[in-house]
Amino acid sequence: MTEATYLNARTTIRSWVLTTDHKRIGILYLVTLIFALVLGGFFAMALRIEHLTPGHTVMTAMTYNRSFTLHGVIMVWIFMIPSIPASFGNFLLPIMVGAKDVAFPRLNLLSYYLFITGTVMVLVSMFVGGIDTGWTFYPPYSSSTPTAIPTALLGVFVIGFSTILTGLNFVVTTHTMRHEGLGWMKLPLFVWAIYATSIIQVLATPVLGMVLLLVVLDNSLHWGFFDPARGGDPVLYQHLFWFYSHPAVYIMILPGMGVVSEVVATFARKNLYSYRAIAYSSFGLAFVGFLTWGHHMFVAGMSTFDAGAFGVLSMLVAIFSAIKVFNWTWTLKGGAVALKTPLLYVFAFLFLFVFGGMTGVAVAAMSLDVHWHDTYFVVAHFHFIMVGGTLTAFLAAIHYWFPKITGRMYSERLGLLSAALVFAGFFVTFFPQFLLGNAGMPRRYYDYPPQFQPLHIVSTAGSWVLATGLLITAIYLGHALFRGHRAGDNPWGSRSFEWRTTSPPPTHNFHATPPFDIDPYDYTQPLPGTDDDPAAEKEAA
Amino acid sequence: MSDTTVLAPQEHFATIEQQAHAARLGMWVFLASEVLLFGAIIALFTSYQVHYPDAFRQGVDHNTKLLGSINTGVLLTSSTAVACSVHALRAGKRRLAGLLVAATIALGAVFLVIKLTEYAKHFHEGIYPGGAGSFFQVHHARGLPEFWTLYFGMTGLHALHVTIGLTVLGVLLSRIMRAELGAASAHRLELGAIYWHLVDVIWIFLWPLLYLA
Amino acid sequence: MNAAPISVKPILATGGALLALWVSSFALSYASLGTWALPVALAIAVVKAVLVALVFMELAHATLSMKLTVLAALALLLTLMALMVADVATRGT
Ligand SMILES: [Cu+2]
Repeated sequence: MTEATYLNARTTIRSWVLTTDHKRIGILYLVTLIFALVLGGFFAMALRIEHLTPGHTVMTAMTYNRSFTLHGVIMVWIFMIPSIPASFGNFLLPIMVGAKDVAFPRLNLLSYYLFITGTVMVLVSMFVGGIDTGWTFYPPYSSSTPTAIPTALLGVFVIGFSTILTGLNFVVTTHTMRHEGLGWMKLPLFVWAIYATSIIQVLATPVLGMVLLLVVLDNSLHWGFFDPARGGDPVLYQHLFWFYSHPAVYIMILPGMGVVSEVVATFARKNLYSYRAIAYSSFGLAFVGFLTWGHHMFVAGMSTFDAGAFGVLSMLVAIFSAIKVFNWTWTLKGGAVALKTPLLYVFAFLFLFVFGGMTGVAVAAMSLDVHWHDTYFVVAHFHFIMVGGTLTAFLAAIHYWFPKITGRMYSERLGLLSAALVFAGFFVTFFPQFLLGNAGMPRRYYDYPPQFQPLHIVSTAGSWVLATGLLITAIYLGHALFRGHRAGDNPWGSRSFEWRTTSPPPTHNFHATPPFDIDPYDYTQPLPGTDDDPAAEKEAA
Repeated sequence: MSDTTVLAPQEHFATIEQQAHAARLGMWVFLASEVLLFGAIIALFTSYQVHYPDAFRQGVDHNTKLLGSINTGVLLTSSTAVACSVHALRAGKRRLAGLLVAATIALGAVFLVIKLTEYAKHFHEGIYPGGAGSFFQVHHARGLPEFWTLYFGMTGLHALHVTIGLTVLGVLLSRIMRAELGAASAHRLELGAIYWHLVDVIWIFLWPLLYLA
Repeated sequence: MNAAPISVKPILATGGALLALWVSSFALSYASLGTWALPVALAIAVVKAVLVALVFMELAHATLSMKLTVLAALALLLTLMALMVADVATRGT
């Protein structure tokens, strides 16, 4: 007789597609997100192959334009924005606050189907004309291009609506569903990160939704909100767009930082250096993130007054990021570090995030940005931050919580190997792009002069290494899903709350009262009720 | 009477108070999101107003000021009515509450009728969104098409919210009449009322921007 | 539950105040205030909105989390407007 878990409670297809269990909805998201990642990755590989030689390699210029647009749209709007909150946030947040479910379970399911609807609309636009504007949809081009702008933008609008509802659910859950005795200062830091992210989602996404609707009206009905011929000002589109899309960087990266905090504490077997500094700096980032959007517009015709203000405000971001990075590294220093796959991904995160962040401070200086704007330098910068930040954290999360979600364990050796491949592949793909950009290679160009070819070839080779790493990951995780050995309830010996129920958890998350008697990061005391007991280890030695 | 029945909370809530608190906070978070939705287009309007002060002045002067102003009074009154209905339902006066919600719905419908009359008048004058129509062949001020396009965009979006609000209030009214809502579940009506107030608050700002100055 | 007001009087008084402000705003639009016309009209609008929020929407009795939600939304909205308008106003061409 096996134990009752959320997985074997009911197993019909209907019980999955109509589920209101936050854990199952998290899984539905996870599957959809991985599909989006594969699709976006496919376009990325195609783009890199196209750049192996100058001029035509495998696709026409128009296909190239549509491919980079779809790569960006899928990766940004369908993969990275929902990624960690919608999947792991859904699965873990209610458990971490000691609740049976999110505050509005049916709304949660609705968000998922809105997400699917929006995703389908974006994919349909691929077949009814494609889109060739880039993921930023700038007018006046987007107001006049005959491609499938309305379908794609309404798709993104619907996805945005889904994000708002998910964010709303998480905010209300964190406020009103915390278990008795679980104060804000005892919450796992992942909850803080998801909470701060949710606030950005709720408050910034409507601005994006509005501005996308206006572009749809411009494109389909020629209303001319941003049409210079009718007195419109495309720069104002950029204001509204980046008011959302810069904070969106924090929607992508704050949850990743939450994952890092959890993983660092567990594998250093140590309390985090300063809980409060990490918790509050999430809010610092969320807040400052709202004041910096203009750094995307230095050369768009914005006034020099605004440009100066935005340049200075943008550099503040580095302060809060640095607080977190120093905190994590200080925690790791002197900890009993166990180098497992999730931690290796966290090291990749730290390296890429710091590297990308430094180049970010550089491009926030207007005088430098004028040189680098719209070159591969910027492309490399945001891939370091967003892919390096979100994708590595997403992979860390998949490995770290794999035993929690499935109850099984993956092959640690293959895990470490593919993490190393992913990191090396990523670095080799994008580091040359800094050099290319600095040398003058503009982004989104189909063709390039022959002297750039060596660096382009290195970059493409890197993308193959990266893809190999991800392919190996997919294979051994898929294998472990069915054949992996039983992991036990708490294979990492973590103190965090989600590990203190069975793995996989039962439908209502806890068999008895949730265990909030100790701190989620307190490694000084033995964990009651398990064989994980430092005192016993000492005696044995 | 249904007011004395004790409501059971949904399975994942411990108490009905917790459930009501979650619903109320959820509504406020949703309204915050709505504020930014309208805020985006209002920010765009304000920016264009700074761009083209003269054209926007012309636009405001040409607008249907009297009808727009009457509509402001209509919405303010409807808000008062729905606030009173929540109060009545909490006090157990279900009939009075129902009447007040019905009055709110009637006032909302009046608002929409007046709004459509205004639109008809604009179309008659040859004013259409996007600077289309005969009006703009006579009036050439740069930025004037933006004023009218934004006017249609903002009032149209608001009218859509009025319609959603009316639908919500209609559902609540039928539940009050069927005695499914009473003093114990007054927070359900309260949520609908809060939404209606937000629709009112947005109009409070659209009125001076589009009709007064 | 919220500590909601017991009497209906504050609601009716607020309704009366709103209508009075409505009439005065309308009347003031005929006084030629020049550049002050819009700021004055908007100031009256702010007073009306605050009344609706505090009394009708019972924000005065709401929990801190609800008040903070509203404040955060307003702060962001003002930031958006201020920096957008500042750009347009300081471009100088
Ligand atoms: Cu940015």
